[in-house]
Amino acid sequence: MRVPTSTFYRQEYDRFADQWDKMSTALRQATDKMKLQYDSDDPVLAVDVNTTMDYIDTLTNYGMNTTLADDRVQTYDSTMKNVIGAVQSLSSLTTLAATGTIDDQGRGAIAIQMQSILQVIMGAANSQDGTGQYIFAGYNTESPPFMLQSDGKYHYQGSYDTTMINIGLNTTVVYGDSGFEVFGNIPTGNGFYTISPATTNTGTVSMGGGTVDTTGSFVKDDYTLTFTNVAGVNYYQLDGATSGVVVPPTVYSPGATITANGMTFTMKGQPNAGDTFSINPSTKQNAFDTLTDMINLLKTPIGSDAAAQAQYATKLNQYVDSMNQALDHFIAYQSIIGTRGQQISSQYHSVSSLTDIQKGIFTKIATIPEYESISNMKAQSNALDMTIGIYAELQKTLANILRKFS
Amino acid sequence: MSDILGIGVNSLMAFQYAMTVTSNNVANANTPYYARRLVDFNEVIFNGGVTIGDVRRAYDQVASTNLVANQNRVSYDAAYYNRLISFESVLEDKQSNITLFLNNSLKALGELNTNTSDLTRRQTYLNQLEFLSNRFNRISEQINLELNNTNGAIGNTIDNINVLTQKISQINMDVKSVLPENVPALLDQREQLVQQLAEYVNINETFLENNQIALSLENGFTLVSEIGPTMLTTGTDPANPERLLVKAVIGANEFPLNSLITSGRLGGLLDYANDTLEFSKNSLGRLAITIADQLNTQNKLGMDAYGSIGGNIFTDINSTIFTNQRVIANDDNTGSATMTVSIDDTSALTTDNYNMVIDSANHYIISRVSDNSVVTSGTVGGLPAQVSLEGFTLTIDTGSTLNVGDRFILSPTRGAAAGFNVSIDDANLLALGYAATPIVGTQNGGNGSVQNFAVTDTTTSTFSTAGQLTPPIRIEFLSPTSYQIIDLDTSTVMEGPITYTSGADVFPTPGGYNPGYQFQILGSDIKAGDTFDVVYNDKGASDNRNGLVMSGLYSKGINDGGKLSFNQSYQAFTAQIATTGNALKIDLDSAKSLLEHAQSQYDDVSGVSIQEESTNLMRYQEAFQASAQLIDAARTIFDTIISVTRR
Repeated sequence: MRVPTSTFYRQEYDRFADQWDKMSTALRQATDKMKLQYDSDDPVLAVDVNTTMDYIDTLTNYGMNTTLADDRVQTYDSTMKNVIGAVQSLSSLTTLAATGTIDDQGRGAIAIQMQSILQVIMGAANSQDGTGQYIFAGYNTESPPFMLQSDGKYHYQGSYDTTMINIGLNTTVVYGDSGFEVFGNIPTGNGFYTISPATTNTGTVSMGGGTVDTTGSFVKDDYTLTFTNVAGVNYYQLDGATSGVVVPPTVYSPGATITANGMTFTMKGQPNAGDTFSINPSTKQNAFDTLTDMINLLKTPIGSDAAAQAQYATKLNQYVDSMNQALDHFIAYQSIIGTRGQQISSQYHSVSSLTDIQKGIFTKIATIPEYESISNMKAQSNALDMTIGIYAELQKTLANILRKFS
Repeated sequence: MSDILGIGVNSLMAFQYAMTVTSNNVANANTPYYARRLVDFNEVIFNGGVTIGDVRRAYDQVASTNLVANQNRVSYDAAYYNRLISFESVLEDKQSNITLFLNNSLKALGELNTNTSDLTRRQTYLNQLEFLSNRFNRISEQINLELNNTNGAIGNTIDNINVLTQKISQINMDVKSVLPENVPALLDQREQLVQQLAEYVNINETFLENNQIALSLENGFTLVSEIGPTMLTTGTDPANPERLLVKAVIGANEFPLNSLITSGRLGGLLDYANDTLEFSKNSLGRLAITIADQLNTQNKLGMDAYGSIGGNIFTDINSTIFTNQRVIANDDNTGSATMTVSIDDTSALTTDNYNMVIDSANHYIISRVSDNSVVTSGTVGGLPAQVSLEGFTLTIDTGSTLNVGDRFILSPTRGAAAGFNVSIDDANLLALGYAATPIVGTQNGGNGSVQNFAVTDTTTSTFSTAGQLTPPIRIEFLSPTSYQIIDLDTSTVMEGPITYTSGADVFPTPGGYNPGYQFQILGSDIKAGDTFDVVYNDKGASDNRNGLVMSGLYSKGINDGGKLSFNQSYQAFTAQIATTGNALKIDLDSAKSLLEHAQSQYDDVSGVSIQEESTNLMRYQEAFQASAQLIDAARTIFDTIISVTRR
């Protein structure tokens, strides 16, 4: 076959060009470590590479939010530790306040100590994060959630919703709790009903907080306990607004226990005819109002009036029960915080391990290992050398043919 | 004896001539498309000896045609691929691609959601949205620049084609008039011109008598005939002012040729402009419309930092400037129709353009440009008339006249990337909260809770007055299984009793009340007297409920019937470009090797081999010397005879 001279040169040129092309690809790969320069080099691989990159981007995008959420949980946790510690320290004060020997002055001193506990809890409820946002205000993070109003009560100013934030694609976590749920939405008394003496009572009957047998057995109703005296014998009777007569007139003796409609409570002291007690279903109240009520009770002098002391004892028992409800409520909330913390940290770990895996995949599919790129380069440069060598040999042959003629 | 001298002399002449031809071959070894000359020796009849019978051009028509075809394909692929690859690098740049800006804006939104009352974070998100829209604008400009450059290149190519066809025609004329020995040189020249022309445009060669050739495009459209060349020119497409038409000038008329140009550089440029760039414009436009529509719609459901219902973040996708530019009337139309296109549903939008033709009185046919499939057709009754198709509605305005033969192009997505702009300056206008909020009664005895509260429509009377709900409502349970709805402004019962089903949508109520928000009440033990209020959210400084929905939009499947999210839509687009590029690259590689093969075939016949010529030269040299020896011998014989006779 004839090999025309121009073909010969052109083919050599094409071979050089081809080798150079490969050489420059190998050089680029060795420099930027990426397999592809353009997506069109390998569209199928490129889709994988781009999807993986986008995925890594998406995963790491939530890093900041996860850190913020984690910080916030830590803040909640340490705040609630303070609150729970403060509420627990109440019990020694209330025990002291319940002793029969304490006088008005002693109660006043206890009230002052309780005032400082109230301030600790208030401070916690109105605490702010580093950017000045109130953390127990739901959405209303710009103003303190609990404020003492002119009616002497603490009113919740925040929103009733919780603020959620994304810590992953389609994963949200509570970021701003509603203070109402944490400090406000606490049932009074023993959690089912409250017992309050009529202010007009003249007898010395006082009562404990009462209990409920089993949760389901309590019949919700407004009850009235009425004492009567027939021929020197004290009777008591329990009526419900809708239940009617629950306990018919029964002879009273101190220490008597009433068990009816799921309630159990014990009475002490001597009644006078006409003394009444109201037993109502628990309502919900915030911890500050309860504590304020307790402080106000302690501040009010009762002197040595036995009837007043009986009223005091009943009320104090109610407030102690209410504060125990608050304590349970706080502890339950703290465990929610703990669960939330676990959720965040598991999200954090799953994101970081996913990110690692995705980065591994990215490295595998998108980049070219150093040894490979370097050996590619060596191979290419050898091939190029050989092409040049062969070209030179062919040139020599051609020259030899021509020399023959001279 | 005189014969020997005669033979010697004519041989000497013949071999000398052969050596001249050989040396000419050697000299032209590297001249492109020089067809080597072959010397035919003939025996001189009667007298003996040798003479030059013919000097032939070693030329194969099939090889030439083959070369043209492969040259067409390589040039097409190379022109298309080289343009596409530079455009591709704009789209895929790791520092500035759309995906990056989308992810950055999502990140900013996620961080904003941790504190929506922080103006700095609001501003950061708004800035990210601006960067995103700017990037769309830049790419759109880049596409226009590409389009202009490509149109410029098309113009240049056509100039070159005209020069070449004129020269080829000239040579066609010349070969008829020059001396026969000069013909081969002209044919070589013409071959070179034809091969050059093959780089520019697809041509079919026809070899005619008398060394004439005719060149034609697809379907036999003549580019060069025996009479002369057909001049090409460019002009604006009456159907689409951005599109360049290649036209043939025939007398005083011009005929559009685009469909006949299928290959060569010109074909590559036209396909790049009309397919890739058009597709890119539409794909980006569709994504821009989708993002603007989704975020605008969601922002309008929210409440901004001033407590007002949100508005558009981006320029409204159906503002007049956009709806007008989506319809392009053909310049040749005789009617005076004014039409607009408004987008209804971004998930149904395609990346196509649509041709609309009035085929008979008041009757239209609308078909896709990509595959010419008819989407819809119908009769226009009274005006204004509306036609809805594939995610958009075409409105034919009052006062329009539609004449038979009028044509329109409907491009719902085409210019949208350029018009994608953030239309608010104040980041406080980002509506990240809800104006309404549910409150579960604080003294509820049951376990009922509110689920999935969301605002669905802020155009209802509920949200008609800023700073309040009209009216705020209370859902009050009358029993564990029924409730009534109370207007909290007037404390009157609006509707009830309504049967309660745990987890069921509250609205619309059986009575048809639908305030523009939605939620479910969930709970198995609800007590009579339990309440669930929905009131104006005056405590929403850091409300991020709408913001969370917005961030959910980034991963929601929307385009292509709810399949593609923002990022996926963009990646589907770049993947399409990459696939086109890859196909071109593969085709280019194989076309190159085929061209190489065709070139070798051509050279095999026509190319000069120096080795071969050297051998020939040696042969002729020896023959020449031998012929000289003959003359010498003849002289010796003559001398001998003379000397013999002298004695």
